[in-house]
This record gives sequence, structure tokens and C-alpha cells, in this order.
Amino acid sequence: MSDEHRFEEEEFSSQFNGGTVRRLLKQLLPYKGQVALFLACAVGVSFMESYFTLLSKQIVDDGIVAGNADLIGRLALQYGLLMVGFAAMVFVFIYICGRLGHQVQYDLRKRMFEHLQRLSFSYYDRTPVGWMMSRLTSDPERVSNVLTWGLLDVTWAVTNILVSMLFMLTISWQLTLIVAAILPVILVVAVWFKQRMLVEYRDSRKYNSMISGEFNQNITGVRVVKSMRRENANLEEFKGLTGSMHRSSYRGAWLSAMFLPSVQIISAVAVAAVAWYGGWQTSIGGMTIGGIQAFVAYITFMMWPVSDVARVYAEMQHAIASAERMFSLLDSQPEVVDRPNATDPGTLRGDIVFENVDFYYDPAKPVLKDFNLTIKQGETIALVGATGGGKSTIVNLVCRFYEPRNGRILMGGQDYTTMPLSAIHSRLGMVLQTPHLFSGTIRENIRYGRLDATDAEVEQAAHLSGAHAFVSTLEKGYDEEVGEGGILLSVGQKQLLSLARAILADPEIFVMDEATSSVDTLTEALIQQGMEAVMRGRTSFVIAHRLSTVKKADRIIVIANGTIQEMGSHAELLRQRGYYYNLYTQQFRQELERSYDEVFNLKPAGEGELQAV
Amino acid sequence: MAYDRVMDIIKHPREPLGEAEAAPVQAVQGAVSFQNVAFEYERGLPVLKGVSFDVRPGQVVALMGATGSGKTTVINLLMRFYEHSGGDITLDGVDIRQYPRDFLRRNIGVVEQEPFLFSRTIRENITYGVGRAVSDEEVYAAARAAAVHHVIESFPLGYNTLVGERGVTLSGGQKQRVAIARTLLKNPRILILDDATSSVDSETEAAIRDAVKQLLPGRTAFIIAHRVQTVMNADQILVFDNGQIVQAGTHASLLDAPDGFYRRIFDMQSRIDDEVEKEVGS
Repeated sequence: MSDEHRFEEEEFSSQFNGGTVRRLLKQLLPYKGQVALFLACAVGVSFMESYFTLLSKQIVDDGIVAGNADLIGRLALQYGLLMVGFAAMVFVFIYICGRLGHQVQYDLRKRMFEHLQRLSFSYYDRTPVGWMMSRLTSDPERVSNVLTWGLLDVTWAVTNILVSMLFMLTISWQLTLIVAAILPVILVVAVWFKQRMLVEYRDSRKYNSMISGEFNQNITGVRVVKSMRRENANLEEFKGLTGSMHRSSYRGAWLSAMFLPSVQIISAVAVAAVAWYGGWQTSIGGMTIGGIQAFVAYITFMMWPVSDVARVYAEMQHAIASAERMFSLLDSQPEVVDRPNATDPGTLRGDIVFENVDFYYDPAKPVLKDFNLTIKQGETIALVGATGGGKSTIVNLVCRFYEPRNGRILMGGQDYTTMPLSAIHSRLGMVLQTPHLFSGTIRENIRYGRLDATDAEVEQAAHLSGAHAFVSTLEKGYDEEVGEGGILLSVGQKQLLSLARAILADPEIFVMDEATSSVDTLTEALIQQGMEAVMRGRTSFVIAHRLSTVKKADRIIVIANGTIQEMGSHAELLRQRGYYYNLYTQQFRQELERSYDEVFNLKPAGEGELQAV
Repeated sequence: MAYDRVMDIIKHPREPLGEAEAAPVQAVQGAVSFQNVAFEYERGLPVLKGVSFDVRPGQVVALMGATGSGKTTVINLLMRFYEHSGGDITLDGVDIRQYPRDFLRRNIGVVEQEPFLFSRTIRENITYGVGRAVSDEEVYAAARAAAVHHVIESFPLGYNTLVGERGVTLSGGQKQRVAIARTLLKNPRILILDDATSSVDSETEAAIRDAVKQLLPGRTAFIIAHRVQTVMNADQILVFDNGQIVQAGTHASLLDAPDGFYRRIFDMQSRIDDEVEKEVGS
């Protein structure tokens, strides 16, 4: 199994892309006031931290060593007052950063979600759901962290380093030079560590999710594993994965452990240099004890800002990768869009005409070629044929989820691309094979068809669709929760609700994809009744799986390989003894067998149930 | 707590795959015999009660009966997924408990009703469990015989297409044909087929039937069947009910028993044929 397939989203470009960085920073533009405030606080805090060290030096040198109690008092008071200001600033930047972080995430998620809703089906066809989910969930978080906390840390760290250097200069320029020489070394080492650590931890997370996947498959597929004697091979593969995870985690832990000591050792070199040179200077009177103490304090403390810069730098690379992927989502253009000057004709009533329509999802694989078909206003069309033959494509084109690549589709005599998408979608009712319900109550789900419908209208639609029968058996009736994705309802019940939704929407064109899975007889009868209610007087397309539907359709169209193989009424097509004849015969047999199922499961001893049939 | 739960799994006795009293040296011939076999998944709830039958190498045996009548249990015992609690099961005259499980399963191939495919490439799914390096030609040949080659070729990535959420979703009939290809490559002497053609369209049904024909020659086959059409040519038909074989014989001999289960299924199916004829004929 190649990892690239499963984890392509983890790839990231390690280049520091200036354009992406600029675009990222633009996310902060609406909040530039807040950004300025928290950055100012960061600079202030950093400045004060360095100043505290300097103050300590003064207290030691001018106060304690010189025995000036008065000065000690004044300096201590100054220290205390500054501390209060310091605390206030810390509060401000943490508060703003936290708030801003969520704000940026919110903005990005909202923009991406809005954009996703505008994108055409073709985008969804080629983009895995998991990829989109990551863009909407983990990427904004990663990016906002770098944009807020990362920016804060870097600002604080850089200020801290610069201010420390400034203060050091006031004490001794020679010593400052030594520190300035060692600083880049520490920085390079720290960046190296942080990058490696991030990679190892990311790998170990990746292996972890692969391990979960393997567990899942090998447990659910245990019959195959055992009958194929794959136990040992699977164990080897699993060992490989856990081994990789172990190695990454181990390296990660080792690097974390090594990081601080390494940086500390390098700073120790600096401290040693300062102690040696400073000691010599003190002995000749060029420097004070407090001065050396302050220097050592600056150097030891400087490890933290340097390490922060290194960490943010490493995180930044990942955030840029996240940002690139999010921007790629935001930059993708919907394929089906309103043309300029599109006008809403006010109704779609009239014939629907496919005129020399060519269509493909993938240019190498044409689905429809020079397809012509006229559907009369109010006609019910049953589409039958093997999977992949083009039934759904026709429906998708009617709904204008896709547009013909060549040729045109006329509605009421007008090319539908001259209308806005909303003109079509608002007059379209749809029942999917496994209808999608949203978590919420039954009432809310029906009302999804027309948001301003009254409760009475919702219930009337439920009556017409046949849904009322089962809704009324529920404890809370229309206020019963359907569960996430309608998980608490059967497919048949979902279809009934979906029909009610369509009835409420009062569409001009109705599209239904019948469920292939078996639905109990009573529900099926109700669905049938609901379908008839919706189809009455409306142009309807049904991707049909049930014989009763097919038989009642005005016209049956058998689609295979993107062309119409057979077309006509039930009786006409049966006489042709072609594809439809075979299909119908086979399905009729299956339905009979299903209705005789109880007989197959009868006790062979025969206790008389047989006679009942 | 967590530790205890982990240990619960670890302490559970393992299924020994390798050890057995006599490691077989000869190739399997495929003679299977059940003598008075009994089994219960739960104490006091027998699912097989004294099941006996003899199968000669190369014979095709159809197992019929309602859900829960014991058909699947027979298969589970033959694969040694479970150990029978009474009677004898022999393969080529030797008690199957004398064979290592590993050896048994290498020689028995299963095509299930809803085959489980792994989220790997189609090629990996076909070569799954073959246990040796397989050339592309062999994979294609198996897929062709299973009537699924052209379906796979129609995917942009062909045999490297991933199965599942990140790749293609295969239909029930396609999955079954991939499983048949997988079993063809494994080339077992004994074959177990769960006939599930009732849920696919007629073209697929024909394709699966052809694929199965490729599988049968030279193997002892057990077919779990639901339709008379499937079992008519079987060498033996065993009708199960409530853990027992209530009828055994060939299509012709079973039809002669007027009150038998088989006869009634046959009549039912004839009646369906008549009704179909009446509905569509004119």
C-alpha cells in the first residue's frame, strides 16, 4: 500500500513562499488595530523583561555594593510599579491573541464553507471528502495559531533579543560582540532541532492513523484474513507500521530531550567567554560584578526567545503548507455559473429538450454523445438501465448540476444557460436514493423544502406524501429528532420525509432516484402514493428500480452507453423483447421470490403454512 | 482498568495455526466426510445435530435450507473456524483435527455472499493471501476468468485503483467477481461458494455464473444455494433444517419425493416461472 495515496494531504512544500505569507498576513488586516495592540504589548513586555535585569544590576551595583539604602528603596518601588504594568500587558496580549485566533479560524472556515457551497458538483467528484474536511478543520487552526501566538512569540522574542543586546551594549560592547557571534549558532541549531521534531511528531501521528485503519480492516475482515491465511503476512505489515511509529516517536522524544541541553551547552560557551573576559575586565576595573551578573542573566535567558523563534519558524512552514491548500480550495472556481444577463423566465413550464447534447465527466470517457430527447410538460419519465449507463447524468443535466459540454438543453423553449441557476434550482424537487436528512426534528427536515411554510403546511405535505402514518406513531410526532443524518429512521421513512419536503417545495420539475434496497411492503405502498402526489401535473424524472413505478410512467427510456436503447410505454417495450423485457422479467421474478420468501423459510416438515400462500 | 482489559484480550487463547499431530505430505484430494457431526456455539443450544454426508473428490454439493438451518456452520467447521463437539469430520480419510489449520485453509477457498475487500488496490485484493509473488499476467488471467478484468481496466488507475472511500466503490457483483479472481489465484482443492446472484442484475448474474463455471472444474465444491436453478446440476443436494439434514440426493431423486422441501421449492419456482410468463408473455 503506497502511503502517498492515503496521506497526500500531509505533503507540504518546504519553500518559504512569499506570496502565501503575504496572503496569510492579509487575514489579519481587518483586525489591524488589535494586532497592533497585542504586538505593542509584546514589545513592551519584552522591553520590560530586559529592563528588569538592568534594574537588578543597578540594585546590586549602585544600591547593595555601594550601600545606598535610599536608592534601593526607590529602585524597588520602580520595580514594583513596572511589574503591575507588565502584568496588565501580559493580560492584554494573551486575551487579544486568544480572541483573534478564534476569529481568524472562524473567518477562514466561514469563507471556505461559503465557497464550498458555491462550487459545482464536479469539484466534489474529484475531491475526497476527507481532504475537504481537513481543510475546514485542522488547517485553519494551524494557520491561526501561527498568525496569532506565533506572531506574538516572534515579536516578543525578536524584541527581547534586540533590547537585551541594547542593554548589553550599555554595559560592555566587547562582551556584546561575543554574544552576537554565538547567537546565530544557537539559532541555527535550534531551528534544526525544531524542524526535525515537528517532522517526527507529524510522522508518528500519520502512522498512528494508519495503524487505526489497519486495526479496523483486519478486525472487520477477519474471515477473509483467516481463510486466506494472512495472519503472518498481516502481522509483518503491522509490525512494519508500529515499528515506523515507534521509531518516529522515539526519535521525536530523543530530539526533544537533546534540544535543551544542546542549546544550553552552546550558551554555556558564551557564559564562559563572558566570565573569562569579564573577570579580566573586572580585575582591571573595566566592569562591575553586577554587570557580569546581568550579562550572564541575559545570555541564559536569551535561550528562550531563540528557541521560540526556531519553533515558530518550523511551525510556519507547516502553516504555509496548510494555507496553500486552503487557498487552493478558495481559488477553485465553480464550473456551473450564471452567465451575464441571465434572466429568470418566471417559470420552467413547457417541454424539456435535449438538443445534440454531448457530456463527459472525464474528456477521455464520453458519457452522452449527440443525445436528443424531448420531454413533454407534465410527462413522467422512467429511466432504466445498468449502472454507469448515463441515467444519473441525464438527471444531473436536467438539474443543471452540470451543463452540456456541447449542444443545449431547452426549458420552455429557452436555452437554460440563459437563466440564472436559482431559476432552475428553486423550481426543482428532488428525492435522492438515500435521502439526506439533517440532524433536527422531523418538522425541521420537512420544512427544509420551503423555509417559510407553516406547521399546518408541513403536516399537510406529510399527509400527501404518506409520511404522516409513521410520524404519528412516533412518541413526539413531528418534533421527534431524526438523529445525525437521519440515522434513527429507515431508508423508506427517509424517502417519505424527502417526498414531503418535495411536496412542500411545490416544484415544477420533480426528480427521484428510487431506493434499490428493499423497503417493507407497507412503506413501499406509501412511497408510491407520495410519488403520485408529487408527480401529478409535474414533469418528472425517475431513476426507477421498482416495477410499479416503471409500469405507471408515461414513457420508459432504457439508457445504456449514453444512448437511448429503447423507448416507449411498458406494453410497447415488452413487445420488443429486448433489454427492458429481460430486465422486467428478472425483476418481476425477484419480486415474486421475495414475496414467497416466507415459503423458502418454512419448516420443511410442512406445518401447513404453505397452504396459506 | 485499561491494563485489565488489554490483558483480557492477550490472555485469550490463540487459535493454533501450525501445530498438528501429522503434518500432511500428500496433496489434498478433496474427499470430505461428516459422520454424525454435532456443534453448539453456546452450551445447550445445538446448531448441528448428527449431520452425516460423504463427498467424493471433485463433486459439487449444494447446501439448501432456511437461514439458521446450519448450512454456514458446516462451512465454519470444515474451515476449523470452530471445533465440532461431536462426531467425525475427515478430509481424505484423515480427521481434520490432525491437519494444521494453516494447511486446511490453504486448500479451501471461500467466496462469500458479501465479500470483504480491503482498502488497498484491486491488484492487492486479488493477490491477497496467495502467499507468493504473482505476475501481472496471472492477475489479469484470473480477473478475466472471473469476468471482472474489463471492469477494472475501465478505471483510470486500472488495477492500481484503491477500493473504498479513497478509490472506487465496487458494486456487490463486482466485489464478488474480485473475490472469485482472488480464489482462482489461490487455486484451492476445495471450494466454498455462497450463491448470492439474486441481488444483482441479469447481466451481472450471467457474468458471475460464467466466472463460477471457471472455478468448479477439478475441485470439490460446496455451494450454499437458494435457487433450484443453481443446484440442478449438483452431484448432491443436502437440505438442512434445524441443524439436521432432512433431505439428500440429486435433483432427480429429490423431485420424486412429493412432500419434500426440495419438491416444494421446485414447485414454487415453477409457479413463479408461470407467473412471470403470464405477466410478460403475450
